[in-house]
Amino acid sequence: MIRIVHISDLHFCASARRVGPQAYLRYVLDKRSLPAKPVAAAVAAARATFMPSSHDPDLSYFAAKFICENLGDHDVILITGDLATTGMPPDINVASAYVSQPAKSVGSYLSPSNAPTLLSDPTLPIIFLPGNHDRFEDDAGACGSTNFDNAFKNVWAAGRNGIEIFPLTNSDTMERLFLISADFCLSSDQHSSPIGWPARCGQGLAYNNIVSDMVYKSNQIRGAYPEAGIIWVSHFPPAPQAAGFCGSLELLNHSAVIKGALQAGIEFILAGHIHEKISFDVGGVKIICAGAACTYAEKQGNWIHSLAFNVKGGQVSLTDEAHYRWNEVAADFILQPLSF
Amino acid sequence: MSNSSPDTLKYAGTLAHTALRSPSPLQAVGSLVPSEQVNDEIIIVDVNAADECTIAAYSNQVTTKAILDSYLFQPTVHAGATISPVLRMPVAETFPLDANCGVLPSVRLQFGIIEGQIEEVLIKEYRLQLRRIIRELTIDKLGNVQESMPELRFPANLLRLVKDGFASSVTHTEPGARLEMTAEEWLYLNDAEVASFIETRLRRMFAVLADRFRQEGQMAPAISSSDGFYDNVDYALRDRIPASPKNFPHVSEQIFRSISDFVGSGGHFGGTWGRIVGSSGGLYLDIAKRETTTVGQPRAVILEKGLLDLIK
Repeated sequence: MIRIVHISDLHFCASARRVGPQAYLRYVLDKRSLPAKPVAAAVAAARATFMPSSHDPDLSYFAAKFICENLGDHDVILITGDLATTGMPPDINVASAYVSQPAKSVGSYLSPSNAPTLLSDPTLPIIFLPGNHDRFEDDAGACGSTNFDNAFKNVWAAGRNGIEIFPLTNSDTMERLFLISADFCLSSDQHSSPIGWPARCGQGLAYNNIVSDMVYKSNQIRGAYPEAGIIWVSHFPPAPQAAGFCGSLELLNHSAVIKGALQAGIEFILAGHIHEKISFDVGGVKIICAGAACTYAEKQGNWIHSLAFNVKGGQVSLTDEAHYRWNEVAADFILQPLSF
Repeated sequence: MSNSSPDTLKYAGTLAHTALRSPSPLQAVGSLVPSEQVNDEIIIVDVNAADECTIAAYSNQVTTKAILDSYLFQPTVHAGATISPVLRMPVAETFPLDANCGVLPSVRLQFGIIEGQIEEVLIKEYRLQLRRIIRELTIDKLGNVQESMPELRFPANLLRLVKDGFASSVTHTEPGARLEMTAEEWLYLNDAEVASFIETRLRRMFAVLADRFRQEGQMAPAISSSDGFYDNVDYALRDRIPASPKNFPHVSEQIFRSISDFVGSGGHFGGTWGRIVGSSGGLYLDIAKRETTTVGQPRAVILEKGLLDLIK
């Protein structure tokens, strides 16, 4: 068995507790009414140039603490993208401190400077891939930043629109699980759908050459390690149901990913992006989306997930799962019943 | 369970057993509402629909799991036959720490009734809710509960200062600073929403402060004098509650008064970390001991990049 802590969409930012247009829209839709002064609110929104949401430092503190104290026996932490609010160096640096700075002692979730960190144990693998926010050049969401690649070369060496493979081995059972992660972020603003400027901020594109490469790599792994299991990882869930408002969060050409996954015998795709704890079954491929871990004012809640996979004869099965949601009154992440 | 009030358990058991034994279990449950307060522990039962009811239990001692395990899902005898309702959810895995954190857990149950007998009980929903939400929804039936539960209230002047603070944080930041923009500025929140905003930030803030103190081995640190918060709390507040610099002392003072009044009247402000307690000298944190169970356990899985040598 291989146990994965699955989190996503941390949105670290030098400017904490900021709220972007998606969260704003969800809030208004939830209230089913416009703000008390809609015109003034619209002016304020325009003035903010639709800056993207950022993190809540209190939530990131408790996420690190919860994972360390309650999921410290897991084998790997997987972050399915959007570590930072933008790819600008100040934001990437905040994210980097959280995922790369070792704790002051094994089993602690605090760094020597008493800042929270996920690296509670130097032997704990923390793996991740970039999300659309990590590729933002600026607060307005222009595509193409490569600061993420420079900051996280030791984890993400594949660069923009690359593929990184994380091979995990359970030395007790000799189970092997390969996580094939792909960067489907838009490489250019022009690659978004023509619905207008906001599309470039939230959309991704399943470039055919990347999907082909994922299939090719999967087949190579199956040839070299027939007993190993493979899971694909994408920041963007390749599901039509995950397209968001007016397709603003869509992974364009998502059907190519499903087609490729079926071709390569992939049963699971792990994703994030839509800030919602949800699973989709698309053509027999199960897509598991993590909720946002520590994004501020997230109406769909803040989540930490535990997934346990068994690997046998090249097949992967999900044998256990647990989902923890931040509870405001308990001031803690609380286990949620599976059926809800 | 061993610390729970016998009266509360007896009352919960009476409700559950009456429901299960009755040929019309939901009517029976309905006849027992509104509710009853036993010491500081409250059990509320209500009927939602033709075949559904909700049980909510507030207690600092008894978890919902304990109540369900002990009473609702035990076999009962009806018309000479033993009924063993089937629970269609693994309770042991789904009811964590709902005691000791000041929440009102509620469970929505759906009864599968065949020929007047309960064949199965399906847990449709399990929630940890703010107590005041429950109260608002059922206020006509549960007046006695309302009176029994103090509410954290913030004075109108504090709400106004925080609203001003939203604007101040946007328009009067240090020259050249990266623009801050919060949902609160966009939404022009009403008073209730501003109060909720403050409460949320305070709950998170005190949880972090408590953990910081726990790290230092302080399990009952004082956080205020009788007049106001100590500086360490004010620094944390200043980082989380928007207020113009000149208004901040008023904001801090009014938050202090609000929390003092709340805990002084028996309100529970805390979480799994513990709670804020009032004393003649001021406020202090009563920090719960935590047991860490997973830290430092051996890990068999390794990231083995060498395996990729065979992959081109």
